[in-house]
Amino acid sequence: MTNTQSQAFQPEPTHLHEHAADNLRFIRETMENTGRFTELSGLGYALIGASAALAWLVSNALEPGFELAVWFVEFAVATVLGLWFTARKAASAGTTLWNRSARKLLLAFSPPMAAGGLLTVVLYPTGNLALIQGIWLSLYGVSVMTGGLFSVSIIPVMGMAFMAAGAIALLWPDTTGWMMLLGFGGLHGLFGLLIWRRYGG
Amino acid sequence: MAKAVKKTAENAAPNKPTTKPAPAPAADLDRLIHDRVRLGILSALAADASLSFSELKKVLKATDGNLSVHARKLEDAGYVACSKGYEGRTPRTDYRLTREGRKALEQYVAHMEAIISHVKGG
Repeated sequence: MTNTQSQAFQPEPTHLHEHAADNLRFIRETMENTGRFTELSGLGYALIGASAALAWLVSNALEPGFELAVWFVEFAVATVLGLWFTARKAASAGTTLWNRSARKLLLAFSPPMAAGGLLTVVLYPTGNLALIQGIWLSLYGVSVMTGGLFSVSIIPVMGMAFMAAGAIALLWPDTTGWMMLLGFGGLHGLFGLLIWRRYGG
Repeated sequence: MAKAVKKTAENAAPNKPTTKPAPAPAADLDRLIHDRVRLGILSALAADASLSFSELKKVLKATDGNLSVHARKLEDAGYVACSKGYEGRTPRTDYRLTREGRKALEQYVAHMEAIISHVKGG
């Protein structure tokens, strides 16, 4: 290669690598601007609604002292159902349950749930189940709403509906039992079917 | 120009005592993805399993016509899949990244990284 040729080609690598870095930056920024977790499973939510309706029936059939225990079991069942069906949907879409947008969703979802857990521990000795369950509905609504900001637009709407159910339960404690059925059973079932239909199982 | 770059890489390779492979020449770049709007569409769909036309438009700040043309090119190449439906009474077009599209984007990213590491290493 002659000197002239060498000089003529010299700026090329610099030019290329700057372009390459710029392109990678563009890809990363676009992905960050987009990042929503769309793999929440409609079928999973519908099944959570069905299991919550079953839990409501069981808790009504048992002595009042077992009511919270039934809902604790339901919480565990709902968590497993939600994770299982969401992971399944994510896998079928070629992604995972632990991608960046899922982590953001979980980060936004968790603090109100943790606050709900703490309040449950603090209020449990008072035996005021209506207050505890009203708080569950409200704070779960907050969790779904904040977490839903990193998912499809229908999720925050479901969160708002849960908050409304929680507000009714807290303001009119006599309605708490029905709000538990309407919220954890009905809203999960209804929004699960909507998500299933619009965004897939 | 592309031929020149290729020739340079071929000529330079035997003289360089480096273990790093030279990046693939620019001619091997997937030109279909290299365009900014099309690269943006693939990147957005890689982050989100499915995006509507209006969501893509918002993310990429593209016009209807521009986005439509580029999305069609990617669809014709089999890089994105498109489904049309209705949300209430409003028509809705959703896009998803295909397996080929994801592979093409991964190859493109690998190509860019190879160029950068080659320059830094050289």
